[in-house]
Formats: sequence, structure tokens, C-alpha cells
Amino acid sequence: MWDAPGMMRIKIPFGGLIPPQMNVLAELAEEYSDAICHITTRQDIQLHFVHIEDTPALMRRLAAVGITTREACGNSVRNVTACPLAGVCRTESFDVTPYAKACAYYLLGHPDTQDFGRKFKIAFSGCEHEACALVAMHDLGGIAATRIVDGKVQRGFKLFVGGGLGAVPHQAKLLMEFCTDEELLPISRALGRVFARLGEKKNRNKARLKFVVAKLGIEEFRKVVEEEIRTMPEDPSWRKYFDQMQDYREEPVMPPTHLNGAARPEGYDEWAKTNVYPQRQKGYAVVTVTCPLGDLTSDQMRALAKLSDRFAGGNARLTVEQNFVLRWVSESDIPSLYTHLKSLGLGQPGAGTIVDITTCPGTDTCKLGIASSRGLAGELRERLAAKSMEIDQSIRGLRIKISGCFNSCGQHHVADLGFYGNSRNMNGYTVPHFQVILGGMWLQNGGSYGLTIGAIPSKAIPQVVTRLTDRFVKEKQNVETFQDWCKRVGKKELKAMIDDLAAVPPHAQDPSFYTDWGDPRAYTIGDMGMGECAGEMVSQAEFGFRDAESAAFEAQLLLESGDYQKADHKAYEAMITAAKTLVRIQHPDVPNDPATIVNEFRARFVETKLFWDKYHHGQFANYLFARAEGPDTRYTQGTAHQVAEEAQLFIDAAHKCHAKLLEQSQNLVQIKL
Amino acid sequence: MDSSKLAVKFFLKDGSSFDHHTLVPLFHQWIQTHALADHLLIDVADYRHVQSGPGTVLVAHEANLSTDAAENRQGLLYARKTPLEGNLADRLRLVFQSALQAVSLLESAPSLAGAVRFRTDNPIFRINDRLFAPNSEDTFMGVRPTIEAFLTKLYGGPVKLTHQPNPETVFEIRITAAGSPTADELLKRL
Repeated sequence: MWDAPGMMRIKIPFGGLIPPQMNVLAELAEEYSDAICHITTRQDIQLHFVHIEDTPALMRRLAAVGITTREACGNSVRNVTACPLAGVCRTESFDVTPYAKACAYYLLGHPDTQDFGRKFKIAFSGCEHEACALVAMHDLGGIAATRIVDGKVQRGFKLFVGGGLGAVPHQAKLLMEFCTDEELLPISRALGRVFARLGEKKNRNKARLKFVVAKLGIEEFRKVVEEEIRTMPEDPSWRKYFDQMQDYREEPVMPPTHLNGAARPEGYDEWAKTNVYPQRQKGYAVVTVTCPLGDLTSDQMRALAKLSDRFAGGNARLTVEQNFVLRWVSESDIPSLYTHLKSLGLGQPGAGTIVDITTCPGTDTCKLGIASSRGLAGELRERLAAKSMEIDQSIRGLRIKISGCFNSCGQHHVADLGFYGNSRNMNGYTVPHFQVILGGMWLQNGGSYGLTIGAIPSKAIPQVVTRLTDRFVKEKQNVETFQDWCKRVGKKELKAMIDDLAAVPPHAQDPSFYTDWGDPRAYTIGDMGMGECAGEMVSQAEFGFRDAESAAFEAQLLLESGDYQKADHKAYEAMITAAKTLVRIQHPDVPNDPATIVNEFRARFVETKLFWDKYHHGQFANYLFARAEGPDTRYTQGTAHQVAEEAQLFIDAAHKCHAKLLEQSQNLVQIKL
Repeated sequence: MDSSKLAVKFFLKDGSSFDHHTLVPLFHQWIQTHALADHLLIDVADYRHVQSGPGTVLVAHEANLSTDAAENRQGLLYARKTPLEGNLADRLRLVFQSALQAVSLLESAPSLAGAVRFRTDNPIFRINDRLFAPNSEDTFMGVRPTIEAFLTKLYGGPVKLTHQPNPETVFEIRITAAGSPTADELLKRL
């Protein structure tokens, strides 16, 4: 018998929670889970180890307090996120909360959002330059903007589309410089219709909106959306949601006050530096409750509900950094609130600093997880917190984000120091590793993605953090940011700084390298399968394809940076990796030598017409064969660009071939049955 | 009262404590050796980073076992999740039996070297099911005779049951027994 309990993801639009909802979440975690409410990187709550028999009661109890779990997972519009400071932020254009709420409920169960090939994520930000809701990495993102029309202020959004993380991250593209607030819901619907019609349905790896935008180009995509807006059938129901926006209100429970030098409890000042944000509304502040690894016990959640009622008028939000914020706290109440939080074990300082590490569940509960992201996060947090007072000011504000695999649920691409789990076979063992990604930008809504530096054994990652941050502190020039330092130093030098840490000692010398953080058993990836995040089956072949995709992505980066020779070589490496992935299905021990891989690939897949396209025949295989004969040594932008593009097409064809093989093997099984 | 979501927590003795670095491998070993009778042990979850939380959780199909530190009092909490056969008395016996087996296994685990010792004279009993057993006086009156009879037999004498109605929390009874027999002694009486 095998009955793995499941995970229940509970979507919380814009992360907004009121005390009765918090109480129910606490109860459900206690009765059906393990007494832990886990805050996700998209403002959801997850309960783990839930039995499917318990889910009807669980969902009914959530519904009783106005929460639905519908479309929290699957090929649907996922939780609509928003900046946790919306409405109280000092730099926002206006409060995006009612728009996020309207969008969430208008699209929930809408007929035009029910035929997607993959998920669709939406986020709203109030400002362009802060991190806010990380618009740049969403399928659809809106940044609040205003303009003057006929002497009146008109609200609207700068709309972005086609962003996304995953193995091949895409920055969102500007769809509209200004979409009026009245246009927002109809345009969102039109985008849903376009995605349902043009989005990939069979190959999940290509089924996000980002691939549609990349394929068409943003100009053509814009035309398609505009045409859809003109021709789609009327749906006046959006008006109801729009009208309801006007009713959205948040009220404080206490009048505004100021601290005015009042006595402060021990530890308060250090905590307040990082965990208190003065609101736009004078006399009020937002208090961030730091939740280690995004976890709150049922008792803590219940206590927070009481504190929210008492100090914040019931105005609480979850954040994408897996914390919890109380808004509208009257300033003179903050010391008392701090004392309460401290007694609950929730008074840790360091919100939004290097200590406040974001992580997906990783191998703890997700079967897609390759390495223990939570284990690593816990270890790093413990080490950094222990020396928090000594941490140099210049690195205090850096972000560390960790994913258990390449699917980026921990948002490692937008971290200063990002890590995602993978593994390497070494000395006859499988060794947990993390890919190091440096210099991603958290601000400007996730403004740029980091550079992949290389895979390092999991147990050496704390040294990676120490070494890189120490070097940054020593070498930074004036007010240079970590991103700028990474760019100035360059990928090669960054890699050189940590290259020696890639070495894995023999098992007999240090067996700890062959185990993962928090799990003393010999490391294995044998128990992987259905994932809680991406909900797909991942085979070894798919890991190979992901590596190929990553290499192709790096080739694109090299191309952009003008390093055409390296771009060419990296693109070829991507093709070889994809070819090897296919060959390994038939010949698991194929050597790493490119010439052998090409020969094996030709004999096993091309001559047998397994790698064959109905319309393009052997065209994609010819890309590999042509490059295998040698590079075009002119190494111009044009030649490198061609190889990079061909590499991507070759990988696509390899995916297709693999899918065909899987289909054939399933048919064989059916025949045998 | 038709619920199987019964839970019992035995506290650690003074001076005793859980060392999670040795507990995690031990729980993984239990999974591999199917150490707990009639339980399909599945996974270990680590919540040491959460204050007064479940600590280290051994997840089974049938129940969760956690090194619970609620109210800053460490103990082993056995919380049943899947349905049990029989009436309340039968279920009580099965839940206490499983909890005490786990207590006994921990106390005798060579890797813990006797560092973990439990007292059995003040366990907490819960019905982790607000739908079937709200934490009210009515619930207490309804289950009290059965629980009292079961515990009197288990401890070989009268026990004191303390209940505090509270609509926010799960139904809970604090048990006070005259003595603190070992887990193995109690198991023999079940």
C-alpha cells in the first residue's frame, strides 16, 4: 500500500487575510495537516500531509469564510498577487488592491480561462521601481499609473505580458503603455482567450504565455490581442466586479499616533529597523512579521489573528517573501505589538534582508524537488542570524532565494544570490548540488535575471555565500550594488571565485557531501515523480532536456553580451546535451564525447527515422550534424545567432521525439494488456 | 462522538530533551524498518525553526507523531488522522497503544542513549475534530465516562480529568494520574 498524503494550496488573492479566515486556516492546519500554515512565494497558504478524504470538509470550512481553493493549482489563472504595501505605500500611484481582487474573482471559473495548456499568473504593483509584486516575471502584470485627461486624473496600468521564470526565464514585455482601469478586466479576459487559443497544449514545457509572446514577437502579439478585444463576444459581467472595487475600504482600529520617544522594549530598535515601514498615512506603520521559511504554527496564526484585530483593524497580508504583514498599526502601539510578537517567537528582525531567505518546499514535500531547498535555507538562516550583528551594511539587504529544482518556485532568478537544486553523479554516487545564480534584480519588479555560474555541492553552498559576500564587501566601489558588482567582475571571475568549491571529496573522506541538508540518509533522486508545484511527471530525460534548455539560454546571454564564440560553443553544447538525452534512453552508458554522441544519435535516431518531422523531415538533426563538423570560425553576431536559434529548434525537436517515444511505449503497454 | 481524530501527548521528564540531529535519522530508520506497528510511516518533516511548534514530525498514513513543544512544554504528540474501528473505548485503547509504543521505542532507542525519558502521569488527550467534538462542556460530559473508565483501568486507579471549555481550541483534557508507570508497563495493561 502506498498512500502519500497531499498538499492543499489555498489561494489568497493579493495575500489579504482577515482574522476569521486566519482562525479557520489555523484550525484546518491543526485538524487536517501538521499544525503548520506555510506561506508560499505567491501569497498562498499551503497545508501539507493532507488526506484526500478530508478535503471536502476542509473546503467547506474555507468557503464559510470566503476562501476558495479553486484554480489554486492546475492549468488555470493562479492566485492574483499584489504588493503587500498597496494602499499604504509611500511611492505608489494608487492602491492596486481592489483591482487585484476584481481580476481574481472575475477570471475565477470564467469560461474563457478554462482551456489553458498551463498556468497563468497575474500580479499588480503600485510602483515601477520597487520590487512590489514582481510584475516582470508574470504572464500578466500591471503597474499602476495615472494620466491627466480633460483636467482629471485617470487611473490605469502599464501592462506587461509573457514574463515567467522556470528553466528558461523570460522578462515580461510591454503590451500597453497605459490601459485604463475600465479596460483592465476586458483586456485580461482577451489575454485569456488568446492564451487558450494560441498556447501550446501538448508539450507542457512550452505551454506558458511567454512562449506565445516569444514566438509571435510582442508587436504581432499586441495585434492579436487588439483584434481579440475588438471581436470577442460581449461579457458585461466585468462591470459588476469593476463597480464593486469602489466599495473597497480598509479602516484602522486606532487613531494615528507617534512614538515620540516612548520607552521601547529590548531588541525593539534592531527589529524596527527592518520590520517597520511608516505608511503614507501619518501616524501609521506596516509591521512585518518574519516567518522563518514561511511557516507559522496554528497557535501563532490564531494569536496573529487576535493581534491583527487589536492593532491593525484586521488588515493583514501575506507577502511573496513568505512573511506576514500587519497594516494600519498606530505607531505608539508598535512596541506593545513587538512584545506580543516576541512572546510568540515571531519577533525576529531582518525582514527583507539577507537573513530572510525565501524557499520553495523542495524535497521536503514536493516530489519534483531535487535538493533540499528548505534544509539549505534553514542552515543559511541559522548561520547568518548567528552573526547578524557583524554583517556588513552593504550585504545586509541582499536577497537569497532557493528553489528545490529548476522550476523556480523559490524565485531564484530575481535574487542577488539564487540557488536551485540539481544533482551530479560523482565517484559512483549521486551528490546533491545547487546551481548558483548571481546578480538577479529584486527591485524594479524583478527587473533582471541573474547569471548562471555553475553547480556546487549542496554542502558547500554556505561557503559560496560567505566567499562571494566577503569579496563584494572588499571590492565594491562606492555605492555599487551587488548586481553591478557581478556585472563588473564578470561571469568568468565569479565562477573562478567558487570553482574550487565544486570539488566533492571521496565518500570515505567526507560522507556528509553525499547527504542533503536536514536528511542524513544517503542522497537519492529515486523518489521523484509528481510535483506539487508544476504537477507534471518528470523523467530523467526531462532533466536532460532542462540542462539543454539552460545551456541554450546561456548561449542567448552570451550572444547578447557580444561573446559570439562562447555563444556558439554553448549553443552546440545545448544540442549535444539534448542529443545525449535521447541516446541515453537506448544506451544509458553513452560516453560524454561529442563525436560519439553524434554518431550514436545518427545511428539510433536519424537513420531509424525516430527523429523525424512529418513536414521538416531531418532538418533539425542536420543542425546538429552541421555544427558537429566544426564551427563557423568567423564568430559573428549572425553566425552565433543562427547556431543559438538552431539549438533551440533542435531541443524542441528532441522534446517532440521524446514525446513520440513515450506515446509509442504507452501503446505497446496497451497492446500487451 | 464519532471521530477518530484522537490525540495524546506524553511530556518529557525534567532534564530530558530531544536532540533533533539524532532524532531525524532515527525516524528515517523507523520508516525503513516499519518500526511502529500498524502504521505506514512515510516521511519526516523538520519544523525546528518554528518556536513552540511540532518540532520534528514523523508522518504516517494513519497518524502524525511530533516532538511537540506547544506552550514550551516538550513531549511526544501522537495525532490520529485516519478512521479507527469500534467505539470510543476501542479507539482510545488503540491511540494510547500507538502513542505508548512510540514512547517506548524512543526511550529504548540506542542512538538516543537514554537521553529521552517520558513521564506518563500527566498526559494530554485531545479530540482534534471541531466538527464532531467542539471544545464544550457538552462534549466533555459526553465522553467523560468512557475516558474515565479507560484511564482508571490503564493507570490502575482513579485519575483526575481537567477540562477547560474554549470554542477556539480543540477539545482537550489534561489528565493527572497518581503514579508514572513506564510506557512498557502501561502497554501491558492495554
